[in-house]
Amino acid sequence: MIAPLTSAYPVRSDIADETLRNPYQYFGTVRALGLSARAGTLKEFLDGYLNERISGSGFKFDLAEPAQPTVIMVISDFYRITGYPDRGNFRNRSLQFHVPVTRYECNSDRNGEQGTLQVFSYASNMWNALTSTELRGPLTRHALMRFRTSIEDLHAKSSPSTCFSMAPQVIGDDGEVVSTAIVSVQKREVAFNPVKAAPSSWDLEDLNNVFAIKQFQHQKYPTKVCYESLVQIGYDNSEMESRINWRSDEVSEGRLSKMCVRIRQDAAHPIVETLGLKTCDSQRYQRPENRLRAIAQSGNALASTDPYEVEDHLLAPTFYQVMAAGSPVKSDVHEATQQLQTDLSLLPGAPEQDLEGGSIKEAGSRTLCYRYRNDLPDNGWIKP
Amino acid sequence: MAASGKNTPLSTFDNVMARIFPLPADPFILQGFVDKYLNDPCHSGGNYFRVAMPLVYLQLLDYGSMSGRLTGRAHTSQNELLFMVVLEWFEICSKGTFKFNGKYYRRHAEGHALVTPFIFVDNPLSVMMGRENFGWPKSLINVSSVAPGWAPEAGDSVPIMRIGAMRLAQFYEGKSQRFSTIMEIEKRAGFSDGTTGIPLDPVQALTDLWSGSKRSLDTLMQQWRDIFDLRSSNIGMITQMLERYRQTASGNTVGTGSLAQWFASLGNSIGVKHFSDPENPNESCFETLANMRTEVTKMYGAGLLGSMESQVSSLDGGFRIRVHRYEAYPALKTLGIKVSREEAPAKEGDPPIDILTPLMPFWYRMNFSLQTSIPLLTRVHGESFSEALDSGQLCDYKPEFTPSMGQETSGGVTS
Repeated sequence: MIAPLTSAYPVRSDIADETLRNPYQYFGTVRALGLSARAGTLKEFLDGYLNERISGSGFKFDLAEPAQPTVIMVISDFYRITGYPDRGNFRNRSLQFHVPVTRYECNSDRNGEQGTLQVFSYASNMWNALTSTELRGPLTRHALMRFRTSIEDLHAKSSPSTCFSMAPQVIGDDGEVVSTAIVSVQKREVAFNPVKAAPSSWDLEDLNNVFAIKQFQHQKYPTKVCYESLVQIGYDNSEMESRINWRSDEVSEGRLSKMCVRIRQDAAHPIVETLGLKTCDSQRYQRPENRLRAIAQSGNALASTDPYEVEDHLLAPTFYQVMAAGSPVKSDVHEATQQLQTDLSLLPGAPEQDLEGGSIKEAGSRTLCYRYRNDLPDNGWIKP
Repeated sequence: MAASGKNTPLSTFDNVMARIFPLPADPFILQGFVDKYLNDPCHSGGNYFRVAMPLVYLQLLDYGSMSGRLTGRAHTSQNELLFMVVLEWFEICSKGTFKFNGKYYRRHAEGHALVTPFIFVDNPLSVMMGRENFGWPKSLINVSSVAPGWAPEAGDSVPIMRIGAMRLAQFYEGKSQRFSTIMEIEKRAGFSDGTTGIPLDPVQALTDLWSGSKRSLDTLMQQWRDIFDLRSSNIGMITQMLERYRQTASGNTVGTGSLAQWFASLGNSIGVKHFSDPENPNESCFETLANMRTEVTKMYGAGLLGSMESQVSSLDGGFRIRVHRYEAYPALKTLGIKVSREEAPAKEGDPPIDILTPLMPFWYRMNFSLQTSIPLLTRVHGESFSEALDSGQLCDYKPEFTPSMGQETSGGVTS
């Protein structure tokens, strides 16, 4: 692959803009984990976050699968994202939570359109975080992301491992802002008792119609919004190729039930609580930094008054799906994976050029409605 | 200067060490940028900004701590590098003293303002919050100090600070992006580094000292000529600047005519909060010209930067700044900053390096706060409006559903 010679930086009035112009093409791997949610909490979230907010706009959303409410955790590892022609490309890893929804609109023939509402979103690349937040719409925070090895590459008998972790900036115990792992995907030694829920029919190919709230805080009144809009982002996933699709333990040779999503309870990232995700277990422990501080001060890790300061939610995915676009990259495979000589390889053979493997393409983004004040008719919502 | 105490500041910044490197710039290029960036009739809102002095202030700030109004106990710190331009502020009127683009203007009550079109910080949180809330065009960098080797050869320029950023257009299959050096600050080695440069031969030493002094005098005079040869439209501001240098050198940080008062008079920062339309990314969906008010709450001290021997022999304090000419960071070109010398790339594929010579760099340490940020004119999807919306007319913000670091359930973020 030849890197473009021109800058990937778009320029606005000759200053560095930091956002990459669309349309985009994505090359890499997308992983989806289905997480069961409590219907009441998820509906309450959808109404409070979206429907009440856009009241008056003519749009309304409902859960796509109210009988088996599912939240999709999407982990992408794009070794290449290209933007507007000649604007360069970059690499990004991201973690997003999507709620499958059905869209309704007054006087429209698009009633019943299926899609997902993108909510908690994180990106390893600052450009991606800024582009998503400032241009495309979904609020995306910068975070450190680590892929140790792909969970599907691990042999069923291999040792437990943290395969993926995402660490945004959080407020530490002493008020300092620190980076701490909030979400991780692990392989357990002992399988979970599965969550009793009907299997979701949602498929990664359905991640082609995304809705999101784009909003910015008012600079003078920090509890108010200076601008917000409902945006729709389309993707063409037709060139994605399926790699993994585990819907049951039989298909996954027992691996699905040994997968574990660990989400830390954090006031700034209330993922489990907000989305009503069903947990299998929890784990409470002393904050590691406090243990170290106690050891330094008294030589005893037990000196802390509260030994259970942090709580992690442990969740069992109901399905696990992997799709790829473009040429898989050999160097993406962890050395340990190669040494294990696993029987389930993601790499059937990389074509010489990544473009031969296709890509995910953005199929148009648009603003469905926007407002900057709410004291006008229709609560201020305007359709462009 | 004491804080007003009328309002809780949006953000507070304590124990901030600032190192300032004034850089001569072409006033016409600088004004051209200001016209395009701020005086655009689409969003200027009846304001006009004129470059006050042909200088761009390259500032390197080390924040001891910073926190936001509603984040309570959360605090963080950062290194920041920015390019600042001092402006005169005018407002439109029916019959005024000044006429720009065929319209009459008078001086705005605030008199002066600052604009910082290039800001680089090493804290990701600061990048996102600063851009989203206030429209500061921040980019992520990595700042590392470099310890010069023991006793470098006298007169050699040794790096003391290295600034790296995400290198562009270098993303290859399977490899992560990486930081590359975009700027280095170098200091000329001298007495303070343990080497004098005086040869052992005393006769030769005297000769060299004389010729060196002559060279230094020539350098000094040339740098002063640089100041006055820039065809400044406002000699008064040059005088003010020289007066500020005098104050800086004398360490006067309190009272009338003090450095703190000077900062107070320049406490207006003007910025453009801009977000693109997802359907037409070259158009804005939201754009506002905003006035941020800052207030210096405490000055700890100030003075000139550089070794004594450098200050005696030149105006650059012994510093020079090497800027790697990446297309992504067009600060020098955009602001018309004068380049003293150009160096060829170290190896093929690397960009050339521009060498900048600062004029009397100085430092100060202070506490300051961001008091308020006021939209002057806002444009939403092409529709402009200048009326100031009060909080009751604006939409509610629900941060509990947005995973924004620093937002607690009551709302609010760090800047």
